[in-house]
Amino acid sequence: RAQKSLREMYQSDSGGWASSKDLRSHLGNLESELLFLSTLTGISIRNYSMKTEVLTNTEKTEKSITKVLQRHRLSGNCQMITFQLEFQILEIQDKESLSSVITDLNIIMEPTEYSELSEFVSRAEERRDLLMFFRSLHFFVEWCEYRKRTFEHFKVGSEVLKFKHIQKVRLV
Amino acid sequence: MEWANDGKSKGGVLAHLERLEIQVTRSHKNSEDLQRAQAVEGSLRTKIHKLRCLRDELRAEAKQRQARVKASAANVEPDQTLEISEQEVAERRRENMKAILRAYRFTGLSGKLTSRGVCVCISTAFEGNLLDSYFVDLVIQKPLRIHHHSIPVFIPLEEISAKYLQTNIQHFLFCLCEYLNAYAGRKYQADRLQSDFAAFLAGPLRRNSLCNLLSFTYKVEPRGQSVPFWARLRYKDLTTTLPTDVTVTYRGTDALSPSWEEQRASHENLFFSKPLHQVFTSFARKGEKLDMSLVS
Repeated sequence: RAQKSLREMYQSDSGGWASSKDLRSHLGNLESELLFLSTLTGISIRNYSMKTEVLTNTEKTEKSITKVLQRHRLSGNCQMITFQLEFQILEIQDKESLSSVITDLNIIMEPTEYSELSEFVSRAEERRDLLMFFRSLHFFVEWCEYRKRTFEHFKVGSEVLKFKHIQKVRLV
Repeated sequence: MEWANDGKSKGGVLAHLERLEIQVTRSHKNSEDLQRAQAVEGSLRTKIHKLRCLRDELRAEAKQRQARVKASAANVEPDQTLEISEQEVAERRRENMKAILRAYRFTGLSGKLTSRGVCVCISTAFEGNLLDSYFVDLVIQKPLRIHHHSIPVFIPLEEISAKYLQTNIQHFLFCLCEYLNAYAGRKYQADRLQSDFAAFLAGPLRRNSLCNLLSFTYKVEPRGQSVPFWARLRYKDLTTTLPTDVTVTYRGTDALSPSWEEQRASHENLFFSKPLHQVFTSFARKGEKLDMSLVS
């Protein structure tokens, strides 16, 4: 069963713009799509590029197999945490099917005080699991925000208590 | 031996000769050092000369470029440049944004805005292998509804929508993503077992469409005299790719020897902790080791 490639799902737009107005409104649509996806996933991708290299076939018997190596570069942020990814995908097409495998994954992040962050980042790198990286990063940031908010809430509370205590002492 | 006696003491002449000898060797050494130093100086001088020439060349080139830029800026109409570059900038932005939209598939969720709402694409992967994608076309209305989708029928879509679709789209899609990725991972393992390790199976692999119930009979060594075991794997948690229940039994008539019983128990542990095809990879490796030991 042939895999549906993602390219088939996204039909490329026809080139040539009637006017710059069309181009601007199209840009507006694209911006809306990006805003939707960054809100949905919690991840803002700022830059992305890909290079492909067709690997020469050294095996003479396997003429029907084509191998393509893709080098991807992706950078962005999840709230205050920025990241840069470099990964390679090997695509092998034979008579029956197309297979895509991530063969190398490098995640570059600024050092933070959160050791849990570096833990799951290195695990994701080991397993070449992009989904795990993005999902964990999003949940981690959300948890940090929640913890911050909760802490702020309690900090205010304790200050109120302090004031009451001082008043009581004065009265005495 | 006798030395000619010309009035000076024996030691005097010898010592004098020795002193002369030392002086000669010293002056030789000095001249050698001098020669070496002179050679180094010479090579440094040529190096300095080369670098100076290079610097002059680069200076000249830089001046030329500056002049060219000034000339071209002066020649072109100001309005024209603005218009052209605006178009170019806009097109470059468009290409960049389209590329970024495509890149979202690596986060597991990507999509396109539609006239009705949004069509979200869910990508699946297992151990770095990029697998099938599925889509959910949502109509942005009150209530939110699914226009159409490509989610397999055995994934509990209705259950998940009932829980989350109306209150939290993000949670709905994350949950769906989890189920689909787990299914894709289980399916991948079962497919790999069937295709790569058919030699180890003594009979067909029984599987359901959700790939959460598998049973098969296998041998640790495909050709050897090893005992056939029957294994049943159940994945009760549909969001995982490792089984929750594992049973490995021996279905022979004679009693199982203690060493084989040990193996049977260890196999159960293996199936719990490693993906299915990796368990069989380790069986294959053990078999290779055994072969190697027989050869040596």
